[in-house]
Amino acid sequence: MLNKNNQVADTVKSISQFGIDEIIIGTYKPINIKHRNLKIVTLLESNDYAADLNKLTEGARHEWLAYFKEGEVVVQADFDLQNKIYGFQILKNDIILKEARLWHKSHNLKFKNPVFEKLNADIDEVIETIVYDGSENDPKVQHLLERWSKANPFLNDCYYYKAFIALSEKRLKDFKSLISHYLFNSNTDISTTMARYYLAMVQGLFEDETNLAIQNLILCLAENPLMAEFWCLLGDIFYKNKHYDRATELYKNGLVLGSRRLKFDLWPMQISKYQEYPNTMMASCDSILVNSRKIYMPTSR
Amino acid sequence: MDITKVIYKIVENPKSLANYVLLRDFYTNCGQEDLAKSIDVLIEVRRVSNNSSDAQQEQSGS
Repeated sequence: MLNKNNQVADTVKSISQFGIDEIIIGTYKPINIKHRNLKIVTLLESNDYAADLNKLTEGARHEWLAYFKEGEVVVQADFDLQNKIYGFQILKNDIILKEARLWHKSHNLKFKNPVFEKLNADIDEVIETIVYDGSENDPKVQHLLERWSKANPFLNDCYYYKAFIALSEKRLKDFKSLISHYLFNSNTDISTTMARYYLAMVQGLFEDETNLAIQNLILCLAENPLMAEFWCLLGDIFYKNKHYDRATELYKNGLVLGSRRLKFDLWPMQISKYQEYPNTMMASCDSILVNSRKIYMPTSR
Repeated sequence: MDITKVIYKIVENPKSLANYVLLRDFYTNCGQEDLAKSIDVLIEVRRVSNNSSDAQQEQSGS
């Protein structure tokens, strides 16, 4: 793991309870943490987190390697190791992401992406290991992203990350333009489908581009009709446009089809969209429809 | 059959069972049996809820 902003203490504590033989921390600043089996490697200030992690993993003694980010806490770990690349379930706020995090050295995996470091590998199997991500934003991200982008002006991944930084800063027009560029130059996979979903969210809920949003969501559903998030967003768009009947039916699709998702598939999951949210919205639609019928009901004489 | 057209039909008229049958048949023809089965579950849920709302309407009409 990398110590970027001194958020490693809880992570080390949580990992060590699972009997891990060696914990390697690469650090850019002095660090005062003591623990059995801890190896601290001082790193020079860097513009490439992936390269630093690759150096650290080269120095690892053990056959099996797991990667954690600072600020993460392991809340549950259960695995039976075979020669596979394993995905952990990373829980942040209401969302579960699946990321490749545990692998055998023989796979010879490398980290990629100098700013948002991640393993350059596809997951073979998602396992019952849940990691809570309580990390704060890295203040260097913007600066590193600019450098990365200047060095690789045509790299499509840069557009992706710039788009989501724009979205987090509520620069919606910038987000739409950057993510559209990214989508135009990408093959369809989970990441591009989710990017399209966020584009549809901005178009449908914030920009009054209902038809474009619906077109994008149809493409998302064509990729995976079991994503309650996609059905719920369609419901939200019709709700916003006061088509409460249709919204109800779309939320219902989200409830039923969402319940059919496999527990360990590779797609992310926004937990509330699988029960709580569609039920609340359906109740709201129902109440609006009942009240509107009352208003138009002719009074009996 | 283009799947986006089938999903478009569902978005246009999400109550119509016929559109879900089209979607199920699409997945069956592609050999995606798990998805076909999931759509079948949705069809069944919708059939039950359509029947119960028909019954309610009949009751309130009688």
